[in-house]
Parts: sequence; structure tokens; C-alpha cells
Amino acid sequence: MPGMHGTVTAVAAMQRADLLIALGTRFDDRVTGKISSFAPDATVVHADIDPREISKNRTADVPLIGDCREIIAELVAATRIELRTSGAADYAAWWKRIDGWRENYPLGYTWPGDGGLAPQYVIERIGALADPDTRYVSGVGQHQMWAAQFLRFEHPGTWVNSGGLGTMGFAVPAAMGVKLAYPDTLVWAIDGDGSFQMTNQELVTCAVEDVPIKVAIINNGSLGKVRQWQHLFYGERYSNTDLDVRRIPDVVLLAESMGCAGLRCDSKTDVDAVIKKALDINDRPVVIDFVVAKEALVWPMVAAGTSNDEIMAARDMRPLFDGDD
Amino acid sequence: MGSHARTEPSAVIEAPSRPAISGANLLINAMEDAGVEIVFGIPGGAILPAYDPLMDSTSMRHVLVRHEQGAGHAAAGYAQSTGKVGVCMATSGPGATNLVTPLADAYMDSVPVVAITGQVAQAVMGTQAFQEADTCAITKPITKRNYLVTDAADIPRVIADAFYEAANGRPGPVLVDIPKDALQAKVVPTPTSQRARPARRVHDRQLREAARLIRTARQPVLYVGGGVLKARAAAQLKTLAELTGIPVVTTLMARGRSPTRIRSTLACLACTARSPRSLRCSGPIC
Repeated sequence: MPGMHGTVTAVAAMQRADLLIALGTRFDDRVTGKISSFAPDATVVHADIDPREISKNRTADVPLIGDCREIIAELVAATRIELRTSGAADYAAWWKRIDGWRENYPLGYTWPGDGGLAPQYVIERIGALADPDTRYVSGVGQHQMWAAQFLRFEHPGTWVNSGGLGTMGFAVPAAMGVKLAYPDTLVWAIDGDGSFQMTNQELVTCAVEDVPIKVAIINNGSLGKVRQWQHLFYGERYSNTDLDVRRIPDVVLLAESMGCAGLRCDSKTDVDAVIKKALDINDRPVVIDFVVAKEALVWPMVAAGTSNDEIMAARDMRPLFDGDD
Repeated sequence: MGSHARTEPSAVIEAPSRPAISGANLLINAMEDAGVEIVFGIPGGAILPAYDPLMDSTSMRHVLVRHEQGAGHAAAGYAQSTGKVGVCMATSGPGATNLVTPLADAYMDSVPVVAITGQVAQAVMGTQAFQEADTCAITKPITKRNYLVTDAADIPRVIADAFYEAANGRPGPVLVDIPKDALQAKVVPTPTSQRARPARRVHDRQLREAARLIRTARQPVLYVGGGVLKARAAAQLKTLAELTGIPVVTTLMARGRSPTRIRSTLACLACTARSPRSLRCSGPIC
């Protein structure tokens, strides 16, 4: 994944690319960072069904307007001819560089020191204990980024989230829609405690209409993504991002009152057992309140408005700034 | 007859062989014809006429949500995961304004959603009638297209058009606002016609140029977005990636686009973190 919380490898590969083949994508500011310094040396081939997207944010050298399925198929045919008549391309040196980034800057996390669970661990275990057909929905915030980073997706359409608008509260109702479309498939909503409090009443609908979704609340008691910005860019002044001084609402009681099973987990040794317990309850929705560390941050990060070259793999670690090239 | 007769829709008189039917019934029939399976919504005064025949539909399930925002996001979740059009329904005024956030959300992420909203009767539109809001004006910048249906006879054509618009070309949300009197009126519908799909053909010269760039590039990247999922082009993309050996980067909206294990060199970073160059890995490089 590229962008503000993309991997170092993805961001670096795009920044250093000499050719970007952009397919069904719109050069969103959260992907490009500061647009004037995005992929500065790349020639751009841009395929999109909407002509208004071509050269909107980044000038396309070769525009391809149409349905991506048709365009990619035609591009495959044209490339076969090109490679057959003019010889194969050689990207060996490029892959060596990419492998270097991958080895030096793998996605990872450290266990937090404030007693809470590592949110990334919780999400990893949810993914590990689910079968590959599982469908995931997320709210908006840190949990969304961690889910995009640490879940594995095996099939198209198995990851549903609010990307462009960034709508907190998306997860519970959207998961209901997914579960109604695929009643026999496990549907996990990965939600934050802030997001959850915006639309959780739809769990009543799920309970009444027999839509047994699973909801994992990555509960750090705060508006975590905003808090992360305050932590990094506002001198640790946490103005109005603290949600949960006295565990209000009590998510377990709230869930039970809405006809769901409510579970809580606050220790690493219980994570698997609680997830398995949730997987065994299929006659009603299940909500798990995972009490995670407030201090956990989403890494890597490109600060808003800055160049992707300044990506931080972790605090004060700027791989591309530090002379990787 | 007198003056009263002149207010009746003329089509009733001119086409006596086709039975008159209420706008509400036309709406439900048109939604069934569009293949709708699930509708998320909440009834209210202006949309009430539509909820009556909805109760008798055997092919559509209505899910009674607790807030219209939930209806919109549920429709989007249904649409994002299936590729089919998601449908939500709300009454006028607050019902419609509560759909604003999910419509804006679907617009940003190009999700095919059709929203059907009741509107106050045309006789009182513009008078700040109870639960009146100018829904079309409010949703204009956050929908791919919206419609105010003033004549019940147009309902089948507009609904068919709305579903076509939502799903074709770049997908997106479409809203149909129907005043209560149009839902209640009994009319003979105007016939609908299938819209021909516009043929798009990519210029061969551009394709050849793209292929030449692929061959001559030294550091290429396939930058893959949600449009590849919406076009159901994951298999085609896999072929291109395998043919060329170009690394794939998938955006937030394209996570999950890879249906199979591609090759170790395209292993996703999340897996690399646990087991370097894992052959089990299924994703793109990152």
C-alpha cells in the first residue's frame, strides 16, 4: 500500500520509478503526498474510465480512457507483441533495490509499554484465525490503517472501507450490508471506539434482522488518529481527543443491551481465546472490546503536505532522506 | 366533467387499454425490474405511499435501519462487496439529509448506490412545508446524478435510468426524489427503453506507446487503484504483472484485488515482515 501510511517499499518504489502505470486510480493526495515532488522522474501511463481523472492531479503522458478490464487486456496483448519483436525488459536491478527496501524496512510494530494490547497484534490474530473467504470492513482511523496493513486479503471485494471521504461510523452499517449480501461468510468489522460510537445503533438492526456480524473494537479510549497528529505535530497537547476516562460507554453492556454478545479482552494471552469464543457465537452479532494501548502509533507515515521522500518508517527514521539513494 | 377532469393525466384517457397504476406501485415494480434484492431504509410521511406496496414485494427485502446514515452505508457495503447497486430509501427532509454523509462517501469512492427519497407534495414545495428540504440541491455536488420526478408516469423510466447511471461508466451514487403526490397519482406509465452501452475503444497508438514504455523502462511500477476492482479486472492485472514482472502497488481502495498467489517477487510487505520472501504470500509488493 502506498501513501500516508503506506509501506516504505511502496512509497520508495513510486518515488524512484521511471514509469508509473496507473490503473483505475486517481492520484489522491494521501497517495502522492506533496504532488510537485511525487514520482518526479516517472513517465505516466494513466488508464481510467472517467476522462476527468486524466491529468487532473498529475499530467498523463499516455492516457488510456476506458474500462480497466478491457484496457488491461489490450495492454497485455500490445505488450506481448512489443516484447516478442523488440526483446524482453530487464528489471533485475530494480527488483534488487526493492528487495533492499523490503529487507531494511519491513512493516512491523513494537509491543507498547503502557499495559494495553498492541492493536496490530489484535488485528493480526483476527486475520490469522479467519478463513481466506472472510470479509473485512473497517471504520476510519488508526484501526483502519492497521487493518489495511496487517490483514491478508485473498480475494477482490473482501476489504470494504471508506477511503476518500474518511467517514467515521462506516464499519457497523457497512458490515451489515456485506453480511446480508454474503450471509454464509464470516464478516468482521474492525472498528475504533470513536468510529463505533457514531453508528453503533445499527447493531440493533443486525440483532433484530438476524445479521450476525462480528465487531472488533480497537479501543484506545481516544480519537487515536487525531491524537497521533497531536502527538507528532502539536507538542503532545491532546485537545479534545480523550474519549474514555471512566470506560464510558461500557461496550460490553452496550452490546448486550442491543441484543448482541459482548466480550472484552485486555491481555495478550486471552486474545486468541476471545476471538475463538466470538467465532463460536453465530445466533447474534458479537462485539469484542479490545483494550489496546493509547500510545500505539501508525507507522510508516508521510506527514500531510510533505513530500513522500520524507516518509518516516518510524519516529525520526527517514529512509529516503537518509541517503538510501 | 368540468374543470376537475382537466387536472387528470391525459394518458389515462388516451390509452385506456393499459391500466392506470399508482406511482408508488410503479416505483416498486421498477425496483424489482432493476433486480433489487435488499433495500435499507426508514419510512416517513412523504415516502409512506411507497412503503405500502413494498410490503407486498416478494423479491425485495426491506431492512429497517435505525438511522438513515446506516441505510446509506449498508447499501454501500452491499455494493462494494458484490459490485451490484446498493439501494437505500428515506423520507423527505431529515430522512434525506441524513443520507448526505453516505452519499458523499459513495461519491468519493465511486460506489454504485441508488437512494430513493420522498419529497413533500408538489403543491407545497418551496413553502417550507413540514419535513421539506431541497434534496436535489443539497445532494447535487455529492451524487453522480440526481432526479426530481414530477410526473408519476416517468417513474419507471427514471428508476431504470438511475440504476444504469449508478452502475455504468464510473460507478457512483444516484438519488431519485419523488414528491408524495407523484407516488399517489394513478397513471399509465411511459414506456422505458434500454440505453445502448457506449462503445469505447482505446487508440492502438497509445497502447503501443504504453507497451514500448514498459519494455524500455528500468524502474516501472504498476500503481493499482479501486477502479481495477470495480472493473473486475483482477485476473487481467495478474496476467499483466506476470507477463512483465513489474512490481505492483495497491492503494487502500484496491486491497484484496489480487485473487491468487502471484509470485514471490510480488510478495506483500506485511507478509515479508514475518517471513522474508514467503512463497505463501499472495499480495502485491506493498
